[in-house]
Amino acid sequence: MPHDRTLERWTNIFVYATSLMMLINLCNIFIFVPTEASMGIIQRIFYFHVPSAFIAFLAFGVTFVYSILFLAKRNMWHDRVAYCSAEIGVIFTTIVLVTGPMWARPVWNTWWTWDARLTSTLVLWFIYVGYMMLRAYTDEEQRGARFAAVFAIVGFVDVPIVYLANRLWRTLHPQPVMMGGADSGLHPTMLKVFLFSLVTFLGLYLLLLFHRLRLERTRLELNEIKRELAYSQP
Amino acid sequence: MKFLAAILFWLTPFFLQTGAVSSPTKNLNFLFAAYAAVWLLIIAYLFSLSRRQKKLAQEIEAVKQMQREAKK
Repeated sequence: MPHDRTLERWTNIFVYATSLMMLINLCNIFIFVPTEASMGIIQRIFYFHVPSAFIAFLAFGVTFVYSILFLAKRNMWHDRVAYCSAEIGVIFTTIVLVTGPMWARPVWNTWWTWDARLTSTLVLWFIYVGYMMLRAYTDEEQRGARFAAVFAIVGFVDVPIVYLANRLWRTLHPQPVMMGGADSGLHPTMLKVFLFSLVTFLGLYLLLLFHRLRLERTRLELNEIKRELAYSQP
Repeated sequence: MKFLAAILFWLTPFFLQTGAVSSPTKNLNFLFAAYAAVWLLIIAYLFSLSRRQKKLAQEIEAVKQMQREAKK
């Protein structure tokens, strides 16, 4: 079908564009960006760590919005989008939780500390892993989707807590370097590299979401064929 | 298993290292490990997506075959 071919072509272009951006992003981070004065080269983790956190917030935000839409309209596709976005959000939160300790170890001399920012991020990860387990262990699809939507809406409360944790409480995690008041701010080159990294990660998120949703579409197609087959049996 | 053992062996000095920053390139191994972890996670997720897609496609084909046989 021509429609499918056009979609396939645009998907391929998007895949190549995102891959190219990831490559340029790596060059920016390892070649062009200046080395931070106090932490040294390890500060370059920032360009993957912080965009991953922002994209995780976005992914859980999408889950939140689509869960509300699902409860309002009972459209199963809204539930699927919420679920797929949550899964990708968990991947990005995992990236944050893995890269954070690798940054913390040489700088704070510890892998982990139970401060408000780190603990609330870990809680966020557990909330959405719990959400996915809830989906996996509920037999009835509609009921599982309803429970999960409520869980996702309540769970989203942790996202602003994570974001505000180092503004509201004293933490070992650094104070915000952007939008954090008079003393905050980044070197112009660092800011450009950071913004490029953020856009690259946004592209990666959209690409993963598109592929994950395509998987869901195939699953729905399979369920439809199985249903047809069950009805056609004498 | 051998591959995992090799990775663990390779990572041992990294886990034992102390944290003081004395030269700008001192923590290169931490930086490398962090970026490697990010890429491994993304690649593993992409691989899992493609595996699931392939499995579903096979299942669809099998069910369609059953459907064709039922119509005969």
